[in-house]
Amino acid sequence: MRREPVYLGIDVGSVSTNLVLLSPSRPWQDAVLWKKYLRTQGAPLKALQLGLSCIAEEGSWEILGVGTTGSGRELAGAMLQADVVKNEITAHATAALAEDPGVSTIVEIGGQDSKLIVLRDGVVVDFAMNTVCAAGTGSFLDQQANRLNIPIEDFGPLAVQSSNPVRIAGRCTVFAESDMIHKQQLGHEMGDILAGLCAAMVRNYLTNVAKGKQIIPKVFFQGGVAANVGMQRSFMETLGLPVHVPKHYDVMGAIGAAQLAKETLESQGKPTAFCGLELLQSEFSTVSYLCQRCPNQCEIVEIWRDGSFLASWGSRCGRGGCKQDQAT
Amino acid sequence: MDGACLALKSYVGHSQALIAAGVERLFVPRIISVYRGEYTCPNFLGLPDLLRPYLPSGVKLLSPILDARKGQGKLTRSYLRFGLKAAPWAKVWRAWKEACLMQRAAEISSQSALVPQGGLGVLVLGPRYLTDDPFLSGNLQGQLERLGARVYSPCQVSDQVSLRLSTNVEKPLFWSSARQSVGSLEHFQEEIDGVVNLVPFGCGAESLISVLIQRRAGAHGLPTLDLVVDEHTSYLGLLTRLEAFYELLERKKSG
Amino acid sequence: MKVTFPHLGHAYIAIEALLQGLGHEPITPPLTTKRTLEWGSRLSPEETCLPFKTILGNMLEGIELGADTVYMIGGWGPCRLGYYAEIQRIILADLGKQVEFITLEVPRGGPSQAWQRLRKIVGSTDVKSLVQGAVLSWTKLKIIDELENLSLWVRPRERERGSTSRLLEGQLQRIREAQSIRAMAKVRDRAELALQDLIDPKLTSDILRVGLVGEIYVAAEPFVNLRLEERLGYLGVEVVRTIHLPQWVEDHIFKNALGLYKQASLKRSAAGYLEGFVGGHGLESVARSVDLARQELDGIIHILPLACMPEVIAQGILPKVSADKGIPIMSLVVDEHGGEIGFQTRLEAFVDLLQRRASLCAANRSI
Repeated sequence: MRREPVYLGIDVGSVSTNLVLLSPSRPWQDAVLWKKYLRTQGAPLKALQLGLSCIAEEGSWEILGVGTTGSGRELAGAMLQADVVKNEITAHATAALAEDPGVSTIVEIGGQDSKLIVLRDGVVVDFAMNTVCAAGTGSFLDQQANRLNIPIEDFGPLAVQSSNPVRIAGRCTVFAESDMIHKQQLGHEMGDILAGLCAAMVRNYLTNVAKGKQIIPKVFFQGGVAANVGMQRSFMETLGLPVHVPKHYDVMGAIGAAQLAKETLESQGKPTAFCGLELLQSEFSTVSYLCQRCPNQCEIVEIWRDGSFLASWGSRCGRGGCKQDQAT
Repeated sequence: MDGACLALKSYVGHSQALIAAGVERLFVPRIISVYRGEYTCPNFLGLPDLLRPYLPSGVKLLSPILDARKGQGKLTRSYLRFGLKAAPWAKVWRAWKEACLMQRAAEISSQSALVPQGGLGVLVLGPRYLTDDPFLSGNLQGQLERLGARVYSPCQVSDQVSLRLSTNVEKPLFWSSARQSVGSLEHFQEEIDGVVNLVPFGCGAESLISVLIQRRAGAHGLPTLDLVVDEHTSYLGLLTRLEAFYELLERKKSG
Repeated sequence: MKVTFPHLGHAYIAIEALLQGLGHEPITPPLTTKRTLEWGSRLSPEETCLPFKTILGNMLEGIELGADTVYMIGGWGPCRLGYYAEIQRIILADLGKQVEFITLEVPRGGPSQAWQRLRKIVGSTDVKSLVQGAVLSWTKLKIIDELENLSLWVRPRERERGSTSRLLEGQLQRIREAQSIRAMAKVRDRAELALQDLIDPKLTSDILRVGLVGEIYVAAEPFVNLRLEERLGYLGVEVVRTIHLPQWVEDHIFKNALGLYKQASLKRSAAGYLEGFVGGHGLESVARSVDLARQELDGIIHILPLACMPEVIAQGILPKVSADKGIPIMSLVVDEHGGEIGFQTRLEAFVDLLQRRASLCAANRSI
């Protein structure tokens, strides 16, 4: 059986780790051949290995290149020897542009952060990320759904049914939660409360993240939260614009990373540096410590494979990590 | 706005409401200083600049520079110059005189306001836009009176008095409102039983001043209650703390 | 007296020389670290900004090393920095620390008060060593600034990642040890050549140039700004500073004390955006951004501490400058809860954005 050539994109976030296999030859609508959405659960190394083993088990592919993104991009990049290690903003923009070159605004709400990316004529011209708190992110919605005993899948449909959303203060998770409890005790309908929560999150997003930036169509809404129809409706109503949710909204970062790997390798004409799926058998571990070599006290993270040193980062002087080297 | 304080938010909100109501000119002075050698908060300094991006076309700002750092004379001149843009001399002068009289009358009436007898004396400190606004402060003054307190406020103390007394702290304060707060605390220390300090959320200056106020009040043996207020504050929570504080004062008084 | 003082980048090298000239023993606190910040925040009022906390932490660590006197900069409004020293003095006194706290500011009382203050600052020394100390200190400050600026230019072009920072640190320590102007000049000349040697000769691509504006403390203190300048250097970006310590000392301490500091040129640049003074560096941030936009830079980064009043105003105005002048500007807020990962992501995305723009411009030019 011939193995289908693909590019692997990996998005290691703090909440989820997503993997995508992207075909370079098929038309864009069908280019995503396989995707996996895994919980990171504080152990990105484990999640990555699990994801890779799924690739090996669920099909037969020839990996032409690897791109990583997300907050764990350095770690994943070092572990797999990825060809491209890119920040999530560029990755998300790349994926959205590949889907529709006319996109002008990308709203991305993930598990732990939210972003706004402004594009003009296919180029990122401005962006913003939420700065201080976790209000208005996926984990907050999860947490509230959990508290209200509603499966997160039912959250959106319930919210959409509401015709009379309750007004909820949304700046901060603590405020929003106490306000919601209060509204519940007043006897408001569940749907109205959920719809109110969606509206509060959208308001929070627009004041804290989008802060006066121009939102013009075409608007893409992506990230894990985009699945929530309640949030979709709130955005459309507040913005007064149609909001488009791409087909693979939940793994756009990973798609972007794969696409970037493809673009980079094709333009350089180089083969991939990826070390192969055999890597699964290896034992990975990370160590972090404060370097004592100078008063800077950098926090160094090292990654080890099968007991040998692979890579490190976090050092200010560039002398790199490797504890042994330090001991001698 | 990231890091904007309560004052800025309510100011922007208020101007939006006025614009929505159809005004064409907004009076937003650049208030640098209202008293010789002192400053207002830097957020006030930049109000017109901050507001400008939010203005729709057709609405214009009237923003004279009000700066009394070099004395009241300069402040007077900038008022008059501003007036002359709209009206002839005689009219401006009359208006100015009238305004001065009104201001003086208001100051005298607040400084000589009779404080009702009975109850415990509570001094309410904090920036004026907060303490004097029943909405933003959750009608703090009214609530205190309902509990039976005699309420004191910094506007009952003249600038001369608070300026003299505020030198009791080692480094004089360069913000006028903070100087009034500290000065009035010193002035009323004999008459009051406790201090309520309203701190707007996100206000850098007040976070420093509250340290100072606590220390001075502590030196006089006065309990203080710091209430941090912002747009999400639940007024029920505010009231609970206020009642508890008042009961604490009562217990302390009765021994 | 054993004198300690807060850190501001490499300024400690110059401050040490000055204190020695004044006849004191300088107690330089360890460089600002997490420990400094944690210690400082534990004792600070909740709503104060990051600089307040790290500065207090520096003082505590200096006292721990045996200092009996603390020097701190003061000021007279409207920025709250002017009142930091007083609150920090109170906090240290409440902790029962037996230290003398000296605030360096233009005294507001008459000449007699000024004289008293001066007597306190000047220890047991003679005029000759005083002048010598001042000259040494000033020269050191200037050389540090020169070498740092050169390193900003070299870092994006270096062959081996990290070599510039290593060399710079080593040479600055030699400046710290140098006791004469001639010795310093020697170190400087050699350091300049050595720095230029680090450049990769094979480098051909254009280097992006990004201007840095914002509040001086966060711009100059690497722990607080998460080593912004180095991060950008490693991303292949040359940083152009607008805030230079010697310039700042000249403007804000010497000229201000004599009443000569006029902001005419700043006001001219900022005209149309910010009419006049807002305290702190608010006006500078706006004016310098306008100036930088004229210098054909690729982008501007504006750095500020959370809830810094003057800079919040500048932050509100800069998007308009950016739109008018067609130069990307990114405001970065730093606070103690800010994650390094998010910070790095933002920098990388900003650099990506600039690169795309630059290559588009180049393509347009070639047509």
